[in-house]
Amino acid sequence: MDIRDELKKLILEQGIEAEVVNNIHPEWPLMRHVFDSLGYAEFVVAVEERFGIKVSDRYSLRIRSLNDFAGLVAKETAGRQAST
Amino acid sequence: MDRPNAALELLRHSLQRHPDKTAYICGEDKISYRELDAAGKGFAALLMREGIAAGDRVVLALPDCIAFPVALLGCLLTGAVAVMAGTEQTPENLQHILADSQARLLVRTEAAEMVGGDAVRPLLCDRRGPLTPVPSDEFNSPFRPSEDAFAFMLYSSGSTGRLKGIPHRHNSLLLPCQLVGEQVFGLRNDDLIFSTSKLSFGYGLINSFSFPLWFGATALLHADRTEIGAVLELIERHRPSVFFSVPTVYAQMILAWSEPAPQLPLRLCCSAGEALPALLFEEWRYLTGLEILDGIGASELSHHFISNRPGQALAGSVGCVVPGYRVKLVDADGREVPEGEEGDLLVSGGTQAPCYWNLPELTCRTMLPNGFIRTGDIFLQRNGHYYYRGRRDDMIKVDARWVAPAQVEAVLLEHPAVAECAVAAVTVGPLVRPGAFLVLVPGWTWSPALVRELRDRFRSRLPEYMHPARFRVLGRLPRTATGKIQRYRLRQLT
Repeated sequence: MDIRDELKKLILEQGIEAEVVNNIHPEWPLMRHVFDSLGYAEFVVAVEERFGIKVSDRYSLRIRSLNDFAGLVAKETAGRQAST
Repeated sequence: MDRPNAALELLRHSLQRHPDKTAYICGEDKISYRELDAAGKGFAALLMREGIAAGDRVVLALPDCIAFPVALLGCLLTGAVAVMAGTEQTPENLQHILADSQARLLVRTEAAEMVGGDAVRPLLCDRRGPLTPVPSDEFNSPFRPSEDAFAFMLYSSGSTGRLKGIPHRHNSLLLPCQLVGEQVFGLRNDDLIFSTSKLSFGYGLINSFSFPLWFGATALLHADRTEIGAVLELIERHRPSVFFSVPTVYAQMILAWSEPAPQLPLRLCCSAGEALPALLFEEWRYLTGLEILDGIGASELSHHFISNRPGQALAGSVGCVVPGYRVKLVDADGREVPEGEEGDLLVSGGTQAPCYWNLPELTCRTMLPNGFIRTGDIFLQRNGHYYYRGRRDDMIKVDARWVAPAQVEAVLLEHPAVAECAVAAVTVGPLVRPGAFLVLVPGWTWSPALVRELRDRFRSRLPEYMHPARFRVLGRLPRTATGKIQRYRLRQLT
């Protein structure tokens, strides 16, 4: 499954309506368009647990959109695969 | 000896200089200083008709709308003690506030859901003031406060989760204007002030009530829950010059923008309520070109007693002591620690509450005979700048509100899968959230379905800011030899 699709599935699991999830523009900030702050924190934790990564403090304020999250997941998991 | 009545002092200059200037904007509503003065006096007359006398407690369970400052002015003018409840209390907390304060009147809107508020006589308001207004000229004898008279009372969470009442005198509304508003922030009468922290909190009360009125400025009120889309729209629409908020909201704003960040109209951005992470300070400055002035206050002191200054803000520090306050960092024996060493923060100043309401033992433990208040915070000081290092107790500050681990743990323990648990601060990005550490009953296994069950349970039991952001299952909880949970070790696990 494409990372963006997996991320959308995680957003659905956070209780966001399917219509909203299907209409997410990959460049939109998720905070304003999809989540409030607590939902956003839950989503970050869900992403960390699903992909086995840690969103570092350095990235935490620059990961805004679906594309940002997908890019981070791809980078972190590729780094892990390269080191194993 | 009589003391100044805060209502008269706060309005005096503006009524002389610019009575028709707008004092408050809320949605499509506006009110001028002249109208506000009349509405406050009308509210005072209404309270007197209701049989309210000086010293009686009147609970203000209003949203941040024009009716709030109107009702507060009315209370101050009659000498009634305004109890700040706001609209975000759980039914249990509202019941506790009404009973503990022995309130005689509950001021609320018709729309507000007030489960638990039936025990006290209501006085109904719409967003501009009482539904049955009384002419202002019916009121003509403002209360003259004695040195000991209480003006208002804040309620803040204690270590058991039970709210504690913190009564303040009229001076607690006035002194921060000179000490912080003037000396530190340099507020002016051409400022438009917007605070996302609500009037029912000490920080929001001074930001949206005392500061605008004292300086003859205008304040923007937002009656609804603080949601980031609405905050950004209000800033775009009204272009405030001074913004008071908390780290969580600054982080949300950063995350809600697409780059490049919009040009902000703000000349001052201030933060309090929880420590501002250096990373957040740097990112905000990178995106907006503006510094965030972090500061620390406490409900017991009404507003900041340590703060950064415009043009001199230091990332990661809450700033320097506000002149007029005395601060000490002490060790376990009460001796002052040397510069650069951690110590318990004690503070003393003219805005400090004299006691907790009906809690003499807590008053003795916290409000010391030498005149200082024990804040429970651990700080270190270097070159006059103070740096937050944590709490002496187990309390967690989330979204500028206290979370008592015991309250969260009680909900977790109700689930049959949970044998033992502990709640400690964890971080999600740069911000602090409660984290739950669990030991499961034998036979239960950890699964996404169990996490969902626990999250659903929290949704129906506690306000959102108290919900654990992370869950972690352990074989056993780390404890001391005497069985006390070592929460610092739990924090290290994340």
